[in-house]
Amino acid sequence: MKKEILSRLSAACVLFTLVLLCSCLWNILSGNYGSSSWPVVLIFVLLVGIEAVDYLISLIPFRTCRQYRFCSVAVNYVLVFLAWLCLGWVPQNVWSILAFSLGYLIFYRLIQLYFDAKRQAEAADFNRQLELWRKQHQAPDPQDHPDL
Amino acid sequence: MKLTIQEDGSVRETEITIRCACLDQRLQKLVGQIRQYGFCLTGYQESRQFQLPLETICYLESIDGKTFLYQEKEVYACHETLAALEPQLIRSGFARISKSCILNIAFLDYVEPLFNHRLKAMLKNGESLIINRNYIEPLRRQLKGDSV
Repeated sequence: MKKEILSRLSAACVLFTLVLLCSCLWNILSGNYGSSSWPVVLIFVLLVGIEAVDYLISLIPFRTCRQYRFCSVAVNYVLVFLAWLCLGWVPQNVWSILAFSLGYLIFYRLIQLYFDAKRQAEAADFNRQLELWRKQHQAPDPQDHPDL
Repeated sequence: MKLTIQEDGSVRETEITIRCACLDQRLQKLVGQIRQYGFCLTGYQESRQFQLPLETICYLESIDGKTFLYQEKEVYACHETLAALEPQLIRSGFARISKSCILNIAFLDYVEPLFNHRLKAMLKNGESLIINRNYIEPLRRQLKGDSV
């Protein structure tokens, strides 16, 4: 049931995003710049960009976790910062940039913790599957079962 | 299920006959395992040639265009490519875990989450391999499909 709800909810979210995006693009194309169409499109482009960057980073064979995290945090920072500048949400003074950077790092860490926990759960699930597979495929040791 | 084993010193080639009303899924798996038992790969060490039973091979790896077969302690060169071997191996409890590696699932002890959306496969002999993100889901499906 939980899986069913999650899949239907994600389908609804995807549909909502597409409708919103189409509506915003229509507004822009028909010259209606007074609405909030630009920010919506820009945020969508930012999210797609973050996903693309994440995919490209995943192709790089990093040797350590630290290298991976540093690269990911730096590239995404540049991307988000540029988007925020384009949206005009960051006043261009030192304190606002510092506040933005601190907020970014806190959110980034929270997202990282969430995905770390998710990956732990996935690995645990994988190990359970492996255990089931092992029970079905590996013959019992004849020494433990002399009657076999 | 009735199991009959006849030991006879005059038999030259071991023969397994399955008498059943219907070859169901479980029996098909058993047939697959029997075929694995009878299947060997040819490995080379310097100029010597060895017939390696499939169940003794931990994993196969391709390095610089050359294929190597890894047992718990020995490494052999192989003249065939991973792509050529994969269809034969995939039904015998082996799974592709990266572009350059095919693992014998029977030697997989457990997995650990790794950065960059990958998993670390810990083998029973203490070695570790990387399961790339693109191969995690197919491997999970293989485990699930086989364990039904």
